[in-house]
Amino acid sequence: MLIESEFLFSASRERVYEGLQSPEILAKALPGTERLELLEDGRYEGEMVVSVGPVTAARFQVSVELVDLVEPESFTMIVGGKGKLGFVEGRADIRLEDRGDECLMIYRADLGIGGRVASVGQRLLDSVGKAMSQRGLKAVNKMLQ
Amino acid sequence: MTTTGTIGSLIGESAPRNEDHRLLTGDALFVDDVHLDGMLHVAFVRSDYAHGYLRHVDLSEARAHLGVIAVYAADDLGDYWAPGPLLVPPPPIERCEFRSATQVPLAKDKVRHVGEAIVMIVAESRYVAEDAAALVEVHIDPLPPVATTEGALADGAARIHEQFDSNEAAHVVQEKGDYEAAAAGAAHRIRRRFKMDRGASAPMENRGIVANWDEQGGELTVWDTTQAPIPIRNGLARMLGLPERQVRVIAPFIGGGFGPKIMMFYPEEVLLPWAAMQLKRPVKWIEDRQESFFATTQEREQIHDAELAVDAEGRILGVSDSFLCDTGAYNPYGLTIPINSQCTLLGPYAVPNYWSEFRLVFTNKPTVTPVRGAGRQHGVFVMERLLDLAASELGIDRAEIRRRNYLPPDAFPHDHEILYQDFAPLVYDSGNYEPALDKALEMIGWDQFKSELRPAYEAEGRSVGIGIVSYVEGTGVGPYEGARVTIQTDGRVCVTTGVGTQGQGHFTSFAQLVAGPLGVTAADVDVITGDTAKFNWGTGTFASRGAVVAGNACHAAALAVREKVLMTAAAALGADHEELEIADGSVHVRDAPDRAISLGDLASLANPLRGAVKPGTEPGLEATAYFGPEHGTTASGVHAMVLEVDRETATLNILRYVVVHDCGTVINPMIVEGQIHGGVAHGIGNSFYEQLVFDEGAQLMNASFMDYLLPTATDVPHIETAHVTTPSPLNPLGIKGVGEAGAIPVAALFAQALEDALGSDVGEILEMPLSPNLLFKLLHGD
Repeated sequence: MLIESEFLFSASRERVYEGLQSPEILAKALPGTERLELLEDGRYEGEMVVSVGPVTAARFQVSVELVDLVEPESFTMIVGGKGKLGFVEGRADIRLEDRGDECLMIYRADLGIGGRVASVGQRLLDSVGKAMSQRGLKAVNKMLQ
Repeated sequence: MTTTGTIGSLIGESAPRNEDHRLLTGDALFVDDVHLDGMLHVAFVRSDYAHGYLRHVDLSEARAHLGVIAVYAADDLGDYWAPGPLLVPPPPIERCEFRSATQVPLAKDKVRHVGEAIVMIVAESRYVAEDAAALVEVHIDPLPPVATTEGALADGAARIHEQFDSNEAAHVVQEKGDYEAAAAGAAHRIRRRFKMDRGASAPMENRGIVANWDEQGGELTVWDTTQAPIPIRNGLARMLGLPERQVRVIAPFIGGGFGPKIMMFYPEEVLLPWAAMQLKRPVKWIEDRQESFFATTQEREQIHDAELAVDAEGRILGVSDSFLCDTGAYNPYGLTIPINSQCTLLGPYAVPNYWSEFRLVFTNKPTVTPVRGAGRQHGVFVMERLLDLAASELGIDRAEIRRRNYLPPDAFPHDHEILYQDFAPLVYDSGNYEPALDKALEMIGWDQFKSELRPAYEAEGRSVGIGIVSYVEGTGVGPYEGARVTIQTDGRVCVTTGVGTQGQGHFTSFAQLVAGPLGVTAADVDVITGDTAKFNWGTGTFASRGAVVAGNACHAAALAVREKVLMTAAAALGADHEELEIADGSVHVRDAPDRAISLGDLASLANPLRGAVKPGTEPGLEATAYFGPEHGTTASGVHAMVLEVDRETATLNILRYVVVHDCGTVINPMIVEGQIHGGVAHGIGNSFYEQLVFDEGAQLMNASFMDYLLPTATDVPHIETAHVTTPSPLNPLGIKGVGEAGAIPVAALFAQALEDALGSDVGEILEMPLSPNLLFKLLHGD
């Protein structure tokens, strides 16, 4: 599943970049993330609960890694999740641009899911993926205020 | 119901089904109805990944879970772990390269499709087993999956079986005549790429197994939803190191087979009996619906690049075809499906030159084995579409181009000069195609549609099209089946055969074949099937062969018993053999109805008391007979439909559906019609609703009936049927198979009728199945 979209933050580029490195704010960007901790090696680990169509409250152990960091312009986020009902994996290339006092995020996420969750939920996820990502970023935006 | 001089006179009667009372009152035993004391329940941990190295499996938490009795991964099976048998080795075709890789009981080093079994959990209940399954940690290093048929042979494609240098499972060329030479002089050469996908068999009852090891009796009993109880018994005995007498396999009532239930051996089929012996307790596994989409074999895509060469009158000069066929992660069924496609493409037509090549490829998807039609659909789709295109190019009527190319009635037996999947040359034993075409044209009102109805529909602004297609179906292949007929002392007749039954009406058709010669009604005959303890020899129910092969064995055994009845009665009544008649459950002297004896009393007499036995006396009114045909017999038919398309919603309404078919002698017309109706419904699904949709990771995206569309009662129209009877010379009763016939030509018919309804708005339909979405796109763009 490919999601290509953008989001306008009412905060500066530096503020957005910095915010997304913090586990609390990063967790908001990933809808369904209940807990996210920054480990010593720079990775984040936590738990995500996803409900898609007939799959309700599928729990995933999730790990997030931020790589190719170019402060405050761009980074790539690598997400992996594993649970009883399957797995989620993906990467998102994120670019931040100044828009006056605000910051435009341009993102391209390639997300794959597998196992049982894919076999009944994928079609629905395809249609809600973009909306879910926007919802997450809205929440981030609120936290950045 | 009586029979006098003639025998077998119940053939052709729509006797009510003997099995329906049990089925409708809930008295029929299905595998899930088996409950045994101390029975344990099994759940499987299956792969979430389509392709990857299986690095590590942590079973410790699952083993410690309350109520768990045993947890097994591949290594726990020891020497019992072995890949399954190659069920059908390739036929002796000259230009044939073949690589075999068969399924394993539990994945060991690698997983090759989503849903492949990795761990078996045995617990006190299924709930506990499922909970424990969630505690198993599986570590897989993902590999790039091969998610498409064409991708399998692409440069750099990951190799699914690393012992081979590519994902090509087979490359086969069969040829007759010289296509290139014939095509060089052709008036028209029509070349297209065709794609056809199939789907899940979606039986009402999923698979299930119960296994019980009786330590005192030294017998393993396995209840299994298999179409082939005797081969399962033989194979299990071999694998478990037991003599065959110590293994009993029972295939009780089964809620639909459709092919995948003759796959041998499924991992669960190998594991449950072994676990029952290890644990000395009965174990049960019932497949759930979602598991079924991965763990039960299915049928899928072929991509054909085909060319038809015709002369100026539309007569076929030759066909050339090169196709790719997806076999999934493993290929236990060898070349059965692509050879069926290759052979059935020729249809009822005279094709003097044929060049056909196929490549079978491994993909990271569930294993492909035959589903009702078994590749025949793909071949028929290609040939029928090519003929439609030729008719349009030449300006010939679509029915007429078929008529011009039919093999004439005096062409039989007709040798197509290539090999069929039963290892025998593709020889059509008999056929007479024009009468079926004429009847179908008349029933559907072909001429009237064109002259009156079409203009009327057009005037109303409705998009209505008409279609007509032909097909043949190789049926009734060997090797053999057997039956034992016994008259019991209460006068009832018992017939026992080795084939399993999945709803085909065997309890009635076989009863009719036996009842006739013995002067009883079909309701007086008890049919026993699918229990290896009751009949020791046989092959299974597949390839539309039950009625042909087992049916002839039943009838032969009944004729042998009839002789014993007459001999015993002649002695009892002091009459000559020739003077006797059998009717209404007794034997009487012709013209002297008072001199009579019942079949039950004769059965008692035939079990002699002491002193009455002469040398050579065999007790009982009983006989066993076997039948094995030389090769398969070719059934045929014509389907026609009138189809309306709602252009706005891209939904379809089938206004008329006509089937005229020739399955030789019809035993029970009602049952034959039922088979055809079921087949057509299946075909409608394969044309417009059912498709297994995988993403680029080879993840199946629609593994539930919410997303995998099955046609419902409202999608299946009233089906008008008629019979043409060309008896097969290959068996005494002249029977041909009919189990798959209804499903085979439906996609080709849909394509033709849709094009006819929509004209140039839709272009050529070269791909099946369509779907409401796809048709909408064809009509309105994305």
